[in-house]
Amino acid sequence: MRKLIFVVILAFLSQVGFAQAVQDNAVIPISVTLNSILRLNVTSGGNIQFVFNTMAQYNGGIGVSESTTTAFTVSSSRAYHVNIGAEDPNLLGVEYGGDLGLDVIEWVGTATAGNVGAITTAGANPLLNRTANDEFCNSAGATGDNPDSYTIGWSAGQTVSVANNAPDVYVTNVYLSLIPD
Amino acid sequence: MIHFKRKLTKFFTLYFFSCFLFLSIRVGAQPYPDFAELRVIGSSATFFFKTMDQFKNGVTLNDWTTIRIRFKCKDNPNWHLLIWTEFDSIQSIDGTTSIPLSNFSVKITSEPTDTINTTIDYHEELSPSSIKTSLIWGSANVDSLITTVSFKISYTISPNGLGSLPSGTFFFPLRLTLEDAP
Repeated sequence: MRKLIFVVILAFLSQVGFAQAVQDNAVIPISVTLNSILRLNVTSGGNIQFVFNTMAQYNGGIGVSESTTTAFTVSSSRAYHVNIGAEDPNLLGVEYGGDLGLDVIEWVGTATAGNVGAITTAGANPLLNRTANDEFCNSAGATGDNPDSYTIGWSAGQTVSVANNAPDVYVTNVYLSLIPD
Repeated sequence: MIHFKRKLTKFFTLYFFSCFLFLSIRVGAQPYPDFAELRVIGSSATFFFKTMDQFKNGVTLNDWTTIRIRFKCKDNPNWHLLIWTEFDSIQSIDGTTSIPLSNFSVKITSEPTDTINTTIDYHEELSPSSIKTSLIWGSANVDSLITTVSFKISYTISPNGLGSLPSGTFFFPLRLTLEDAP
């Protein structure tokens, strides 16, 4: 009798050994790699010159024209803003070493395609040193299939006169910095 | 000591005899034991976003994974394939940012084929979550044949909100469970 019970118990144990859950599992690792795209391309007006040689220009300044306009485009996979600023705190005289305040230069921003209406401050803005982090435009989202297009209309001597400064060639570099938000 | 060895030998002899006996009975009564087998070909997926078009329109990995299901359960012919993840989002490697799971979707892109023409239904497109959700389900043949279903799935990451994220790699494990359905 004991042996019989023993065999029954073993038989039950053998059944447990065969029992299988009707289930199978798999894991598929999913990964996403984002490589941010930030491209700023100056398409025209990479070198702007204002030549003052008439009294009208000294008194009224030189306004925005096609020859004093910089065009650039932005492609960005992220929300972004563009800062504008001069490399130096003043325009530096090349020949005689004098300087001229940056505020004689002004710019007017225009969004021409894509992110229209994103210019931070409408109207004429004085050129500031780049350390001021002066914002030209901002975009709440990424650019579309086509890049966002902007123009900068430059003028000089209109709000702040260039009169009473030594004749010289005054220069500075202006940085356009595309910064992801 | 010798007495103990004898008892041990007797125990194992009886155990293996019982196993053999019941294995024979099972094989005789049921040609295929109950089982569920999930085979995955294309067992990982990586999305690369590196062009503006991808950031604008998203990325799809077409027919990326082939899934083959084999199922047999004599007590319950219903089966389903569940998809789920224990992650609540697609998380960056450093854990600081994430992509919502709703950006990711799984789509069955080839008509599932079944070797014995049992009933099959499926969601065409599904985003996984922590709740196990049936991607495809069916009712197996109640006789001794094994249901075998094959299909391909595609993965898509939509671009919503990706523009506000920094560069980096994001990750989550997509889990599949094949089991008998209630």
